[in-house]
Amino acid sequence: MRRSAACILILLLTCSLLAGTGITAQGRGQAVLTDDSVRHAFTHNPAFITSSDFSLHIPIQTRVHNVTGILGSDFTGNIKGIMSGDARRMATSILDILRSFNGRMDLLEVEEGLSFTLKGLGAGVFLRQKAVTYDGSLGMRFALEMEAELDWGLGWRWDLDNGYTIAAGLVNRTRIGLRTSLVGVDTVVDFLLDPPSALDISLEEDIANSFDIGTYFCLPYGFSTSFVVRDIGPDGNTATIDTAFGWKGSLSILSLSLEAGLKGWSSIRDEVDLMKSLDAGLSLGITSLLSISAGIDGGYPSFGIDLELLCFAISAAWYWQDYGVVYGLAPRDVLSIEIALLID
Amino acid sequence: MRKTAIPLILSIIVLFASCGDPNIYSHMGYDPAGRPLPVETVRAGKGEDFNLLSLISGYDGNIRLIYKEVDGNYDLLRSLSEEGRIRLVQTVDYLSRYGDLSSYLAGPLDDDTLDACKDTIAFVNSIIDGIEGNVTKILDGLEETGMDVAVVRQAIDSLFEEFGALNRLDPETVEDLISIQLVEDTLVSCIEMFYIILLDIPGDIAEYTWNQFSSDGAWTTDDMLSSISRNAGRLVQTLLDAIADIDQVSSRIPSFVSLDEIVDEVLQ
Repeated sequence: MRRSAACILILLLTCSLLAGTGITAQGRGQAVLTDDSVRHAFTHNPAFITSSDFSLHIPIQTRVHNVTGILGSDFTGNIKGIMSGDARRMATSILDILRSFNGRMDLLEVEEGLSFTLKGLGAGVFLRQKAVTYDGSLGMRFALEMEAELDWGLGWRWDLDNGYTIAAGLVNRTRIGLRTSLVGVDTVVDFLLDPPSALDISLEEDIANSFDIGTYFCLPYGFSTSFVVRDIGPDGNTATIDTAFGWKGSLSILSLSLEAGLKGWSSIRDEVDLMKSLDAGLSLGITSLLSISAGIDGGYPSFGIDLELLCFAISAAWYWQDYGVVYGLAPRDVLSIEIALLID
Repeated sequence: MRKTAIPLILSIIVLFASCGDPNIYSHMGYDPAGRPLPVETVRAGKGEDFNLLSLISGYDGNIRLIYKEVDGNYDLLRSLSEEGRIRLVQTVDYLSRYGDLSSYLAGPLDDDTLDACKDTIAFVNSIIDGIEGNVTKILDGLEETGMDVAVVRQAIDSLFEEFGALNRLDPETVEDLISIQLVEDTLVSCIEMFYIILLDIPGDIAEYTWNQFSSDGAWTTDDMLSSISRNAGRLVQTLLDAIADIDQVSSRIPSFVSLDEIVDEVLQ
């Protein structure tokens, strides 16, 4: 019995070592348009629906925004205050943490997903919950946003002679968003004093449907390029075009991949748009178990680490988002942690 | 592989080094504060916004400057040059994000702006003196007279009148508008502080919410005083504790305190 278990474990480890390592997009500056992984089929390039004959991906991701701002406050004291059970201490600790949030900023996000691909067909459902802050110089208010996304897609892949591969895919995306009305310090206080009174919060809903169309060209010598038309809505006016050029190489247990690209290049009007559109990333894989990534997305750096063992993947990424009324005025950092079941 | 590993490590080091100001273009000379802004002004509906001025960054990339419907504000905003409007928006944005004028005043200011700031600061100080006096009266009234509702009532009435008077002021310059906004922030911080302090008071005061307070007349002085008078002893102690440790009570009071010092230092 013990020998059988050991054999199964060795077999799984071997499979794990032979399989490709997935990387999170955030740690690599969102530069994964040429990564050719089903992990990015529904988020970045629909052509990757064909990256694997069969795949199952169940990620759970948490993102904490403005990490250095939160840690910059009296973090330990505030956590103690929140845990104290004393209404006044809890309220003041929450306010202190919220001090570094101004205007509309994301506070905390949780995302759960379930997606699969099978012979060029794919479907996925994603649920997102997000706490968002609003307002600035006066009493802070925030809202909870919830989103359900239902995706389905098709993909085709042609392996040609001389190392060329062409893949194309299409994903239809239906999003149903719900947002609570804005709540402020008063609502938090009311909730602490009398939880049922906080149940009056109203909801606003929003439904959207769009298509993404993606292509992927694998060229000789490890080069590849991708071209994605994103968010093609009913009127077609909001569509954006992303493109990227990448390279992959490996030596022994090490692998390196690089990518540079332009997001939304069809709507670039000036140099600031260009700054926001440029992204680039690299990842260094050490066996297929571990990879480290770095990138630049819209002028902000990002770092990531991904660990894959058997069919489980754990990833962490640290990156920045800009919330300024003018690009560059208000960057805030984000820490993202993902745990996923990934079979491909 | 070694040839690729070296640039990789160097890239990571450069990326980490840029974390002080994470935007790499800022290190290459890009100055976001110097950018022109697509600004549109929007008049806030009655009771819609507590601010005299506030900003919303629209999804279309335009900045919406929301202002309260007061004739003086409207006339002033309408007469502003594009440059003046951009400066106003940037300042309000900065204030709303960082809560004080330190960086704004620490930046390069021309003589005209500095002169305007001197007038503004005198204007702010006169209002702040009044507010501080009123807050002190409330505290003194509670501490010295204990339950003397008449004293407390008069002080709180004055405080709220001061607040109402701010929106009736007739600003003549952009700096006046900014000053009024600053003082409003400070006043609301005081009120926010009171609200938090009132958490300790059980009973019907908890029924009054921020929104009720901010809408006209919902939270009257009588309502507040009736609760205070029933809980005055506890309130006095809580207020005194809070004032002694004010940093932990309000997020914006420290900015208000530092504003005075910073402004004095800059103008000396």
